[in-house]
Amino acid sequence: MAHETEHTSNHPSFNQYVVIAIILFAITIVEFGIIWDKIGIEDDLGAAVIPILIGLSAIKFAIVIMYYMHLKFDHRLFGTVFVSGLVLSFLVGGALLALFISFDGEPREYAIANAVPYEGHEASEAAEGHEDADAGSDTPVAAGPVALAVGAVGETLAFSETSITATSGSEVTITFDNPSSNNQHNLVIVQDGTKDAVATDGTTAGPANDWVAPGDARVVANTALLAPGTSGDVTFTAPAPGTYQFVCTFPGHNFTMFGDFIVR
Amino acid sequence: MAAITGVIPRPTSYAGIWGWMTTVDHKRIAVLYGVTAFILLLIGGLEAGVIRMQLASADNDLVGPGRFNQMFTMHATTMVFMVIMPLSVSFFNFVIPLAIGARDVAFPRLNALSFWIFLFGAILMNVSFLVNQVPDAGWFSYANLTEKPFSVNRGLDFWAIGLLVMGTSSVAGALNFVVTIINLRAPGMSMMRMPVFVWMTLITSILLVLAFPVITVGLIELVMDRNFGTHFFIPTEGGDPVLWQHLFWVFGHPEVYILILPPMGIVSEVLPTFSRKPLFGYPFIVFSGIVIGIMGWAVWSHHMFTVGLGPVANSVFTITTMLIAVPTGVKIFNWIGTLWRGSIEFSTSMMFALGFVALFIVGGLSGISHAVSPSDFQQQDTYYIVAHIHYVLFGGSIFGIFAGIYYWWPKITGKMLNETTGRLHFWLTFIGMNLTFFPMHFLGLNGMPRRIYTYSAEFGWENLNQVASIGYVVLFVGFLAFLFNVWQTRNSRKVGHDPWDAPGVEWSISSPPPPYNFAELPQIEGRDHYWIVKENAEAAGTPITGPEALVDESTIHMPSPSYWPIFTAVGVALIGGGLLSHYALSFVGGAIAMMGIVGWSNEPAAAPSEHH
Amino acid sequence: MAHAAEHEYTTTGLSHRKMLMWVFLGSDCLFFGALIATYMVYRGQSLVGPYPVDIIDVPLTTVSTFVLLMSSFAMVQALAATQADNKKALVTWLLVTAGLGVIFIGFQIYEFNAFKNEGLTLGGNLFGATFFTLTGFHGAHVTLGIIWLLAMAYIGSKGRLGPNTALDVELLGLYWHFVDIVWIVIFTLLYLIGGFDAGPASLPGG
Repeated sequence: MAHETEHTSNHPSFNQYVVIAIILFAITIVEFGIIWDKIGIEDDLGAAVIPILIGLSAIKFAIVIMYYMHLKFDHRLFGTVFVSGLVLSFLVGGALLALFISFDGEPREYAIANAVPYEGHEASEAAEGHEDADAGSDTPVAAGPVALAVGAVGETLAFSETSITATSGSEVTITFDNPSSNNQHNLVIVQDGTKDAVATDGTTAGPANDWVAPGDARVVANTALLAPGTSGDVTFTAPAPGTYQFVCTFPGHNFTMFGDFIVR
Repeated sequence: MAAITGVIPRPTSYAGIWGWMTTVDHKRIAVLYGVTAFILLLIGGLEAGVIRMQLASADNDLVGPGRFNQMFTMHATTMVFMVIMPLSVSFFNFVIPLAIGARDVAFPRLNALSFWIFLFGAILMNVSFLVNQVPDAGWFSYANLTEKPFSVNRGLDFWAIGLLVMGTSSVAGALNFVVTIINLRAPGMSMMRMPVFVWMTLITSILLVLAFPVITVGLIELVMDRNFGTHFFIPTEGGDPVLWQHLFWVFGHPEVYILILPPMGIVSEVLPTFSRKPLFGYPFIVFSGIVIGIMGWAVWSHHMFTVGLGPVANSVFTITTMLIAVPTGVKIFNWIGTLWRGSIEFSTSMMFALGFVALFIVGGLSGISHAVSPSDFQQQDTYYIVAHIHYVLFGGSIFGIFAGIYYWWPKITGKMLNETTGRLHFWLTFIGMNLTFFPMHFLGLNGMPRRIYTYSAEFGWENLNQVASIGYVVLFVGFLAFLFNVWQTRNSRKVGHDPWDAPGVEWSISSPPPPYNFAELPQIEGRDHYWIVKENAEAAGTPITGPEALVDESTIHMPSPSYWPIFTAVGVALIGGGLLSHYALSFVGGAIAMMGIVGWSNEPAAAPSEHH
Repeated sequence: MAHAAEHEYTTTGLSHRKMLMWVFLGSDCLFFGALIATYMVYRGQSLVGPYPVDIIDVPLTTVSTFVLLMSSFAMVQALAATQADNKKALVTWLLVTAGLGVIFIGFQIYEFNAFKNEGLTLGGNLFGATFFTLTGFHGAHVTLGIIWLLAMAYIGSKGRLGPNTALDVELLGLYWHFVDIVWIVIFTLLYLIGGFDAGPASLPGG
């Protein structure tokens, strides 16, 4: 009869475990040293950096499995079982990466074409003007009829302004310019916090309704759907003071193409 | 924490509903799985019925496009995840411990947990009908149709979370069976003496534990896109819908082998029994099963030939897919070799097994034509694929499962299903199946796309669609014949322990088996152990006339019933349900699941007991 | 017909539960593998910042990596103490392991917060989505491990852990070390290598 007993006879001693811990620590320090720009080895190593880092990590990985997880001393079956899963995940993951990187260039071109540089969090906060109601708004506040100009930015799904302002009760005309060559856009003024819900309902309403659900109470005003390279405007009375949003409700655009409309 | 277990005493008997709710006996859990799966088969079949009735004539308006999308989505999701898989698991549960000479699985309470989580997950997914927010993006739910602007109601969340819950059940069960098969085989049962059904279960279970995590990640990413603002599959943000397809099919292709290998194992038990010959080429069948399991990971993009992966990727996957036909062919030739010069008995079980071989070959042939990517460009998203799917999953898996039902029914219940009614069931199913699905090959090649809710008469598809819909009616009647058979034989005469004179060790004990299965763990003499035992006994002049004698149950140490599995399963289900309604519910569910785990760990596997 | 509660028959002589844990860990490799693959596929695909080079802090994470590595050492000591029937040592080492785990989670929370303040969110860009999902699920695994460690420390303090029940501690150890080696992979890919990914100008071919 076989028993459920554990092998306690051949495992490393306390000292050996300490040595292993020191080795793991040392390898980590080496890895950090390789990429630390104050030492600057990384440039000298060039393309070899990645295989070296992966190799060092693989050593740490193997040490923990073999010694801490005791696989070196245990029955082979455990090792077989675990390593099968491990090897499979590497093979399948590797195949997946090969399919994306080597054989399909599309996504990378899209990112290159559309990604915007990051100027740092303070810079982007200031540009968006979200935190400070007074900052970031270049258009003067007027009491009489107001003309505001907003555009889409190139081929990206973004407006040129992140915040526009008007006085409650004034007659506002927003001229919206769509300079892109591929994208249709609209500009819809909505109640605070409803942009995504309006966009969702707009999707159901369809292009014939300019992607805005007819009679949607959350919509203050909206332009028509603008074809690429066209402009359009909408005139309306600025509603009660508060924060509203303007958003493009073409399906999917509402995630990035919106801004604040602040009414004083 | 011990106080928790003290509040409600541990169940001790098998009686009544509480007995079923707290059972940890693999034989009972098998019945639970089987009955649940058959109810879901009815539901999935009715969903298919709506599809067939709508498509029976051109320009039909029985249901609109929205409802039709829901029907084909739920039909496929139900059949794959809530019918074929649990039916296979039902067989794993009943047969595996008996076939390897064990008293139960390695983790009986984990086994029960798997069932209850499955049941609650299936209920969760079908609750979508009650709130009329039914998944409707296909059973593979391609992104980014499944993203919020396009699938606005919670149907896809039901789908994703229902699958996440049921996935937990599958993985838990598969872990259990891997350990059971490796570690609970009776003395003398080396790996190469295991019945083929046991081998196929082992391979399937390994595939399950390795494949489900991949779709789990995909489903998590989909839920996050829909509910937490991420853009994993949204192209305008740099995400890629094709990544969903990869994650789904890296799981999805091993999944189809998960669906077919157990029925292949069943057929490998049935054919030798009713040919009165040992299985031909046992090592080849075993190794080809292993090869299929491994190669199944290398072919997934054959579901994506038309996505635009490029000629190199398409060529690689064409080659690997063509290669994987080889081990399947090896199995088929070995099955034919088993039949060759055998003394064939055409029992209902045998007929379903033979039907499996014939119909699976048809499905396999259309499969080979899909493997070649240029021809797949013509076939993809047409009814030609629908024909292939159903020949391998219906003609294959379902036929194999029915072969197993008719084969092991006497062992489970002690009664035989009626052979005449069974024959009727078989012929109605065989004819109905071919009537329904064979025309679809032609419909597909004539250009009828999948997942369209209606078509114009001028396409000329109406006649074949009508034939297919008539076939559905025949299938439905066949299914009723099966239900009638079950009802008809409920009070029939009890049969003995070995009505088929079969080779497996499970036939050496009484029908139904005692709770402890084997009084003494058997010493396995070889492959086809019981044939060897019977022959030796015959030769020694003491032929075997009855099952192994029953013994006093109290002398055998069996795991005791427990309410922790169902308790924990409620917690897991609430986590899922909470994600679909109020997040607070998920926290409640989490707390219940944690309590369940604590109570479970404090409870010994068997109550310190009256029996020593 | 004798039963043997602790010494049930097994074909291989190996523990059911230990085998279950190893198969489970093999399966968890696929789970993390798919999450890591998603991260790798989406490297360089974010359309807006912050990009990794803007916010990833390798020195800080090197420290937290070290903390987790040392927790594995502590775990090994806990198991050795259990096998040596040293109740005080085993409880201490279990608590040390849990404590180091808590420190690691503390670093993670600090880092998540710092990134959030820099503008990295789940929905902001793909880097945010893949980073938070991958490290979030890893952190969840660590947290479950900490809860398990504390529960075991409690059970140990009641005197219920010893050489006969060392398997329970060993299983916990296997899980804990696995979580550690997953972090080794994450640290290398997301920090040492991917930590220098910048915006569009530095993409290969861009």
